[in-house]
Amino acid sequence: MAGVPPTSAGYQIARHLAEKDLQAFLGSTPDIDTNSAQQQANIRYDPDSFLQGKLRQITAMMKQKGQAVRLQFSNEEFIILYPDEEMAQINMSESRLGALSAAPISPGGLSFTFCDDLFSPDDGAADSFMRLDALMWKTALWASQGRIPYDTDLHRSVALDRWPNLTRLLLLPNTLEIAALWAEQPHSLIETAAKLKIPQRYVFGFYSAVFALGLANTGETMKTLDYIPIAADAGEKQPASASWLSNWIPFFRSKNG
Amino acid sequence: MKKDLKIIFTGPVGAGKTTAINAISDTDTVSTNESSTDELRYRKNTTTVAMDYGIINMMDSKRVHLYGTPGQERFDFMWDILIQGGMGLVLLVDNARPDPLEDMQFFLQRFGDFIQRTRVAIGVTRMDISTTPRLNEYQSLLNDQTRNIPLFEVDARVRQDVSILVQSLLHSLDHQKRE
Ligand SMILES: Nc1nc2c(ncn2[C@@H]2O[C@H](COP(=O)(O)OP(=O)(O)O)[C@@H](O)[C@H]2O)c(=O)[nH]1
Ligand SMILES: [Mg+2]
Repeated sequence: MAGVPPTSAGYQIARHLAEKDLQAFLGSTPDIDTNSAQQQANIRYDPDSFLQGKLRQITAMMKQKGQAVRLQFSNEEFIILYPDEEMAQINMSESRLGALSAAPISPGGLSFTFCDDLFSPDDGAADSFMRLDALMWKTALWASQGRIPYDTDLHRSVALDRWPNLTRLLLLPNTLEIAALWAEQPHSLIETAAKLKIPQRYVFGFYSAVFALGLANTGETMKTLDYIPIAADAGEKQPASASWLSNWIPFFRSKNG
Repeated sequence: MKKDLKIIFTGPVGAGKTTAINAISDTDTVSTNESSTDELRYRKNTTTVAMDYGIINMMDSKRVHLYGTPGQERFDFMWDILIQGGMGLVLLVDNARPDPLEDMQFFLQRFGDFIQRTRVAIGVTRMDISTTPRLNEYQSLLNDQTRNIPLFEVDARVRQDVSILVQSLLHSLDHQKRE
């Protein structure tokens, strides 16, 4: 923040808290050496063992059937998903949802039934409501903690099929940069972290989140972009170098969060 | 080194151009007319075309200039003047209008040359007032575009929404391939 000297105690504490908040979503694993099998294994997880994967399977069925579905956890906790509204009704706190998302679901820990509930946000005053894509995004981040689905190729180029609705999703550091890079020029996960000079776990976490929404494309069907060199419109000179614009963005971010 | 960036905001009347520029500007924005809407004003025989302008001050005295296009199609000769020197386009589409999908197509087409040279980011506004069409309907239409265009639900009154939209445009410009 402008005006706060980076050495002040307040700044240090704020930074520490921000880092801790981030850890829930991005973990704290340092960058890996891709030659180390052990380190490669540490950054992988199986989405299907977590709420993330259950949600993916269940929503796929729900969309086919066109009927609301109730996910029941082992106690009184539940989530109801509504297909038409693409909304979720959740009767637990944010931190409970985080805990349920971050641990593998044990056998019998989750059951689901189709139901005739109608979406009526006013009735369930104590429950919270979330967009389905925002729920899938967030549960994926909680499960991933800066890791990637186990069968992801670290060296294969990733493209974004389309931009996620990022004004309504949890934004983590560098989310917009990574999204723009993959929308414009596919890069592998390792290249992305190196090019943007950011921790690998930020890239891995973002990948897991777009993967959960089905928007990460590592195949051959990506849009063939017809690249046109950067040029301002008539009357302006072309920017001096590639770094010209990137110099702007950090300032912009710090001002406009 | 060039110090300033110019970004153009466009879209139909009421989509939130004036509001968005206001939300994100550092200084009080300028509208060239004094009424609450920025529509065309007729005074005697002269016509005043309203225009929004705002500014974001950066470090090192760098600035981002934000210009809004006047809203009526019959004055669109102004648009070609306004976009000169522009680095990119922010298109706001009002989801509560009769045919917002057609609105989007109209503006993408109208600014097609400019968009090809630069980049565009699209914000769909007033989705709280009209929940349809959904974003995926916009996305389907965008599949025909050669580029992968940022498209978000935006409330023009919310600074963070506008900021994300503008940042997505800047990052897209930053990462476009230079041959
Ligand atoms: N409810 C709602 N109102 C909005 C939203 N975005 C903009 N507005 C309002 O829409 C009206 C028209 O916005 P304005 O900036 O004048 O549109 P312009 O003609 O494009 O300049 C203003 O009253 C804004 O406050 C939105 O997402 N939801
Ligand atoms: Mg206006």
